[in-house]
Amino acid sequence: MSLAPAMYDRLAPARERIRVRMAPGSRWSIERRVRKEEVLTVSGVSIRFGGLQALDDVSLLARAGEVTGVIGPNGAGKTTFFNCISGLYTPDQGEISFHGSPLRGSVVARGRAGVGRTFQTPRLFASLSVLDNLLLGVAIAEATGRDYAFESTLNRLTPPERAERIARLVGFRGDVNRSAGSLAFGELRVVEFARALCAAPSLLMLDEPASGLDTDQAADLVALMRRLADLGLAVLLIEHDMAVVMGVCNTITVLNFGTVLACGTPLEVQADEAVREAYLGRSA
Amino acid sequence: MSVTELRPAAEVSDAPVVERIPTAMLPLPRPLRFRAAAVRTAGLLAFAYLFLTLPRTLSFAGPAYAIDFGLIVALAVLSASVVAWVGEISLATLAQMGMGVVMLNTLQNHGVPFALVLVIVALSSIPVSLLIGFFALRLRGVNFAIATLAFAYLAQKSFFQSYLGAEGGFEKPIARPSIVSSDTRLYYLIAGFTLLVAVACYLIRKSWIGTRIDALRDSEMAFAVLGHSPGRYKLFTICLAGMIATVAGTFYGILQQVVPANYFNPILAIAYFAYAVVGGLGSIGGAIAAGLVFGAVPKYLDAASQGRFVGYDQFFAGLVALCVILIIPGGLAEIGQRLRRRAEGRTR
Amino acid sequence: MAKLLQTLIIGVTSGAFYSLIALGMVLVYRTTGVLNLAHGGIGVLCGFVAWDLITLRHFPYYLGVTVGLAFAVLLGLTFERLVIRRLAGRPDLQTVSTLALFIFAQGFVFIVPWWGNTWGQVFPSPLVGKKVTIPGAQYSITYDQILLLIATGAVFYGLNHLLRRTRLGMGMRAVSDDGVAARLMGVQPKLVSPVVWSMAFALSGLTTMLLAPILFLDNQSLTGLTLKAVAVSFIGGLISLPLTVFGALLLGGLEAFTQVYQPTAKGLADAWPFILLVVVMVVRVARQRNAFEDKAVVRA
Repeated sequence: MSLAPAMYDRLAPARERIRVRMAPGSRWSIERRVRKEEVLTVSGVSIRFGGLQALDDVSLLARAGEVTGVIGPNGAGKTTFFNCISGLYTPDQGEISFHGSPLRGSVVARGRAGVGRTFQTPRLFASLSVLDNLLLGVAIAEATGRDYAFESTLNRLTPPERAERIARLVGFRGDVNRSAGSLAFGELRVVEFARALCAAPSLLMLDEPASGLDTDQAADLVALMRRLADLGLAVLLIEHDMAVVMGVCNTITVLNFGTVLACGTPLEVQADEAVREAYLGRSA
Repeated sequence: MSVTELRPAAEVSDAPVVERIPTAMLPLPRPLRFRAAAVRTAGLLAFAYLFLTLPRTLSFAGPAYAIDFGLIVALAVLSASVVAWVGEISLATLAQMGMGVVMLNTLQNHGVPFALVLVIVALSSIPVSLLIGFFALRLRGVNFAIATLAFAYLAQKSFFQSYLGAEGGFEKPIARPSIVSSDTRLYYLIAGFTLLVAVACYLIRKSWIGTRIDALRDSEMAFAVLGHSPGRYKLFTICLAGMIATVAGTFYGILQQVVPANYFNPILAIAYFAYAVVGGLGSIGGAIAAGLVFGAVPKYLDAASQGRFVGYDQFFAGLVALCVILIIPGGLAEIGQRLRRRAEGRTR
Repeated sequence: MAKLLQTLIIGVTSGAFYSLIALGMVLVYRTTGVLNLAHGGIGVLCGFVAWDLITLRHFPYYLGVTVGLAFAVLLGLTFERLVIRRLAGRPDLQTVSTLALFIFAQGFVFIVPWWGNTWGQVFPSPLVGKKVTIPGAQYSITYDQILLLIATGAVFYGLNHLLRRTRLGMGMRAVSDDGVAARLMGVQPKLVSPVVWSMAFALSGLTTMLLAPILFLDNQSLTGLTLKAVAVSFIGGLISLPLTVFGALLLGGLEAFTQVYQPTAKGLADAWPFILLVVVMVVRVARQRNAFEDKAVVRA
């Protein structure tokens, strides 16, 4: 992934051309051709825990059909940010709006409104079977009457069939009647992903989905995320694996010590001096 | 810079994935299947026989009073065990039993026929349970346990003492309805109710409600983030437990007819929780068994030793509790399960 | 003025009672994660053993007390070996086993026929009858109460020193935080754990033997004290020694003031532990940021 500095400099003019063409608003960029809906708008969110300012004036925009990455060193506040959007923490300042209206309900209400999420360490219902885990997600889609934008055939299936199809879609190969507590680590992540999808969310927040996966599995994950985004989901991604991030994200926001360091396309972010200083390293 | 090359998605294999299934879950071979069926039928018949004739069968050991008391304790322990379904501890069990006694007295003073009394008592438990449940929405774990303890304590000091008086008894003692005039008849009423409650709890546990309660206990955060309301299921469970405890209190009032206020001591609620642990927390059969062991057996020993045993019940209870926790932490429920498996011929 | 002083003195001495018991419970919780509900019961048991020897068999006072304490230590070692070690890794079960031990100990005291199980016993003390009159307060404290106050201070400083500054104390805290890591660092839980439990039980015995001359030696009063001690420990969050002592003094003071100045509001004096508990809980809940703790308290 990293180029020798000499090579990197020789490509500068080409980089400049691509940057101009890919910049939001330019006549070549996709954003201009298809007006994408703003699913999540976060503006000026700040939260403080005791003496630590965990987030300071963080803003972000996530659109339907795009994968938005949130990267940064450990402790930068990425998971805290997700927790604020989920409703687990209440920010001291700032506004979050979802599909245009303010997002203010309880955790449960936000889940039902279509904010889906996975966790850094997978939290499955270990005493239930995989199928039961997925069915709990499907029950939410049923209760709120939402459609599965990413695969319209699902709407016509019965809940167990839906659950099984979504499980196969994300790449779960095992028996869905197995107890979730007996799965291997990689499978835990996959099932959690599937469960979040079963609830037919319009915003999917993934917290380090590629950690613990090998290269092949990570590549499958990238393909899946790209496909989900193309089908209309807004995907918000926290990830440390730069190959995944740079490969799949439309926009990246870089957090450092709770503040936004940079925001832009992968190319812009990679070129940004401050980001390279703080996080990516000089040779990226 | 480079872009990750996307591999074509791997083909989904059509071959079935063969996994190692634990031996205990494999279906039994034919001869053993008969044995298992035979054991179950025999068990069911024995249970039915005992259920119908217990006071007479145990009359050699003592009066029916003992088994009645044991069943009441079993219901109280079941109530504590049910709250553990959502992973919480409630120490308000005895306070709710006390409410049952008070409701019984109030209804009797108003001349309500006995047939309606139980129904009304069960329904009247719901507001109290909701109040306790309200705390469960904001508090978890030890904090919630303390809140229930505080509730129980305040109930004892304020409500019960003014109603029951410090010495005990209402203005007139609780009348024994004629239909349950003897302890043996009362046994059938309590035992019937216990069976009903046990079956209801079992069915709930196996239903979709039970699945969600298990999920809630496994990970409340994931449960809520998904969009399910933990509060709703916690309230349901607490109301169920409260109803069981309140009706148990009513039975206690009928059995004793004069109830001292200091019976509803919050400390006893902690002991009942300990019995629930010994029975196997969350298990229905285990809770009832523990209640019988810690409630009925001491009374039988009292009767057998002609009153010299009074006071030994604490010693006995503590000793049994320690032994069971040490030997099989899963409690009486796990002991029962292992015995059943052995009898059915499963090797594990 | 005299009344105020009297009230203060009563409050401080009651506070000392509670803190002595509570400190023992906090010691165990901080080092093992187990809420030792047997604390009061063990003390009563050892107190009765000592009483038996001193009053019934006419042993000298100090020998009787020493044997009582030795019995406590032995009980602690046995309990740790047979029960705690078998339930390693399940602090919830360990807590329930201490409750079972409490019930067992109370029952045991009850059934020994020559211990006079239906009434409390008077516990002897070499300081009996000696008093100190406080000028201006028209009140006198007995030497036993003074000894209790001194003992409370000594226990508090001793425990503080132990937990913070000695290797044993650090080892105890390490084992409670992470047993495996502690082992890798050379701390041996198998040596640390028995010390903790025998120390806790010995402290319980000592507490009872200091308290018993003032109250009666019987099951009921000491059980009531256990409940208040639990409340006081919670005020300290089960962790902080200074907050525990503060809570105990606060409780003692509130009870004393209620009893002296408002004797007609009966029930209020008894309700203070619970009122304090509720206040502490409300404060703690209001300050918590995260709506969810993800692990259920009990595994059903």
